[in-house]
Amino acid sequence: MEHFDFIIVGGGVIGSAIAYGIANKGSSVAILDGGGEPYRASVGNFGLVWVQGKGQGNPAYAEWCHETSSLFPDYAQRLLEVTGVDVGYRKPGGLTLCHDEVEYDKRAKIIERLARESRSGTYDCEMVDRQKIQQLLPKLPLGPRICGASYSPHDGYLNPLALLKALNIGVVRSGGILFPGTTVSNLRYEKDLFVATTPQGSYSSTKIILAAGNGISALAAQLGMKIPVSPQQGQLLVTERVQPCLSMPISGIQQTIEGSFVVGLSNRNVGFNTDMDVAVMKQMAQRVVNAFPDLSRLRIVRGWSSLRVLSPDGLPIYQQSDSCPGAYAVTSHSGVSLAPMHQSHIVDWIIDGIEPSGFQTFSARRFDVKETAH
Amino acid sequence: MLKRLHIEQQKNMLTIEFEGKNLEVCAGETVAAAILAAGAEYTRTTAISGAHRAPYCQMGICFECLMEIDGIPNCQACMVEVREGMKINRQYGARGLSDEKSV
Repeated sequence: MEHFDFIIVGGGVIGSAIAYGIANKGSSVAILDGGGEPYRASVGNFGLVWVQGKGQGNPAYAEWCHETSSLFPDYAQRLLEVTGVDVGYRKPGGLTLCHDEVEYDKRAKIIERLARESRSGTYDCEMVDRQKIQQLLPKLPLGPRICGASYSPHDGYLNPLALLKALNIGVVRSGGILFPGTTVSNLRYEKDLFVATTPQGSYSSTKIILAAGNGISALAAQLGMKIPVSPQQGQLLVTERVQPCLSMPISGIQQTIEGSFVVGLSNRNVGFNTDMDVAVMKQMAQRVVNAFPDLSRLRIVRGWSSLRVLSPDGLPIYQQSDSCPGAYAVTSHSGVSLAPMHQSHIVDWIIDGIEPSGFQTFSARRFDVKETAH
Repeated sequence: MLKRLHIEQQKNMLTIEFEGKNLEVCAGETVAAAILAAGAEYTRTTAISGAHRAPYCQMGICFECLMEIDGIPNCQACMVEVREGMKINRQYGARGLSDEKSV
């Protein structure tokens, strides 16, 4: 049986970033990546590197998001140097548009709360009026109903497929091994070793990290961890290419470097289902046209849906198993945004036991407490 | 150089305008086929590098045949049938948001 210091179950952006970080530290690492299943968030997502609005009720997470945004420029540059892949990272800032007064008040309260809860007492995101939005987006006239937005200078975007490619190349260049199409059916812990069973054979390791997206719960249970995640469907629409006219990403509306507008403004709890829904597509298109009437001229050329990986409170879960020490579960809805954090801090935690400030709040135990209280 | 396998009878010929010049084409064929038959070499330039592109899949999938048809940018030329008097231009790079011309 082939043995590694580390096995990573799942080769999406989370598993690959962690594997890359581990390989860089000189340990042997293998990624066992499932194949064929259509529910891969890493290849279906929007590509935002997003900070604003995240971390209500959890200042440690708000800081986690700010830190990743501050790391990203150097991180993207380093990926380019080492792997030759330009992930197309840009950080022009970002906007969340408010289509009426109710949305504006709700958004303003979220931003106020984040400032109130932060350890510094401030939160670098401001509510702006129509005039300011139009200054920020000079080439795209706003629809008449837009009454304001929240603006953060920390938001940005990248090409998510390029990020995954860069990470996979990085893993291999650093001596890691990627086993594609190798779905783990069973995990066990015996004599201080982890054994992963796959149709291609079994692999053993000293430590194991589960990063299997929506497949994580069943695998984690086999190593004594309760990791509650569930799929939430998001649909995306892609338009024909047009000359650059959106100067910064909007939550849910983005123009790629190549010129296509990408729209993702839906969430549905429909289980493991990636069917598109015409009524949802229509609502999304309408909201885009309400925001920017000129975009009604563009044709939609593609669409797909993908499944987010959501914990009950939407925050990441970073958990080590009590009964099987050396087994870890890592899951987050924001695998793209948090790639530098996963590659650095999460690897330091797994290899050296270093816990960043406030890290305990990301333990899956937070869900046990709630259940006891019922 | 591409050529038509079956030359239609004269009564089935139409005239369209391609890049400002008249072109005799067969009724019933697509704009992409008509432009290829005329030996146009390329039908668009790409949005990023400006490389030349010509119709490829001819069935509406690849988006290589984008052209400006009667003032509407980014039309899939392989999915549009020729009509008398149609004005066709190459699609040069990405369209602008206000590129639509009234015809």
